[in-house]
Amino acid sequence: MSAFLDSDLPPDTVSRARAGAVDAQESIYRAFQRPVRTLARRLVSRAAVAEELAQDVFIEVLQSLRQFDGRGSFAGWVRAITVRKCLMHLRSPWQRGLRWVEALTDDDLGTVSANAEHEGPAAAVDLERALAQLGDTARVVVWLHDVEGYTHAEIGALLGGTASLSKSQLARAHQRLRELLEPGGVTASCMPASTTY
Amino acid sequence: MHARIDDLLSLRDGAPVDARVRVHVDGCAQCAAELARTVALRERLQALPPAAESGTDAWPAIQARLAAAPQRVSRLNRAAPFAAAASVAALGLFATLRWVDMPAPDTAASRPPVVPEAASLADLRERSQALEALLAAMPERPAVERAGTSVPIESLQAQVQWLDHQLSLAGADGRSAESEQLWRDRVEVMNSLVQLRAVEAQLVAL
Repeated sequence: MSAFLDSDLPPDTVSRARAGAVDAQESIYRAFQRPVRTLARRLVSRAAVAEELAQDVFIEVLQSLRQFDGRGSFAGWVRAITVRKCLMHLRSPWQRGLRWVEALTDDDLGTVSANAEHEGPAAAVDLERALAQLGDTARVVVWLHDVEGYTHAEIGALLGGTASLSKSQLARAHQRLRELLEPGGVTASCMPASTTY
Repeated sequence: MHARIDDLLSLRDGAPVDARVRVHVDGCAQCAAELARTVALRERLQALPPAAESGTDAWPAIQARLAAAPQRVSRLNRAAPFAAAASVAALGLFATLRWVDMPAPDTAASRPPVVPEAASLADLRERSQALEALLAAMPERPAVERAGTSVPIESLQAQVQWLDHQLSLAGADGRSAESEQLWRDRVEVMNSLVQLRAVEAQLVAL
């Protein structure tokens, strides 16, 4: 489940931070640094970039506190800013060009084990690597939908498309993850491209 | 035939699916197993550990950045002077090359006034729509572009796209103050875009 759900703040922290209390601002950072960094890491996949984006998120959060009207949860607001920052990064022409260049020489993502159906920490590492090997859109969709609990309509809107775009990308992500994690197992799959009953 | 993965994912999520799919999956061991795999994969994703602590505490760096930027300056506002400079440079180039044949300046359409501070959200939207209409009425961009105009034009187009995305988010959250600022930014960027496109069109005609 979303790590943002576990984040909690004393009731007056946001109002104190908004008034300029540095200790309250630091409390916000301490409470959310892990979920923000984790979400950025999952969406962007490159650790260094994700850390940089996480810092950008906190700059925006702390500078925009006046815009938080308190109608929704503060954690949800922070999460929305994190998602927006990451999507903006992934959309940037610079990022697209960089990914193309990196694809020629990239080896730091590692490879998924030949048999990745094992359990425990190694399985988590394999899953993280498999996630990192997905296309940007598929990775964003599978994480926002399956972990953060976004609806297809919400994801479609974030991506500038429709719920159908999100659904098709989720199916693609699952298919690809299966291929990466269960090599050989997918050929026996019962999931043809079309369905007739 | 078996169920497609998107059908299985819909079943997994409790979303509406064709009744025939549900009946088929209920009676098909292979599809039931595939459905269980999609559930298991979601559980594995949800169980992934949070990002490991980085070696350094980022709070001092964040504090320093906050202190260095006491007032919020949007990325767009930082870029606006460059866009304006690009417009001026392109206009200057055009004026140099085409001084004699320079047509008389058009009405407010080609040189829209600076957005007044008091402009309402409705005013800003109207201005933005008027600039959109003006842009749509312009001739298509040339097949062979000049770097002096194409780079800033593409930059401005990217800014408009970014603003539209931000507006869709701000609209969903009902943040009217932010919406107003975004619309204001959009009018300014569209204004620069229209001017540059006009210069580009004139250069093509040379």
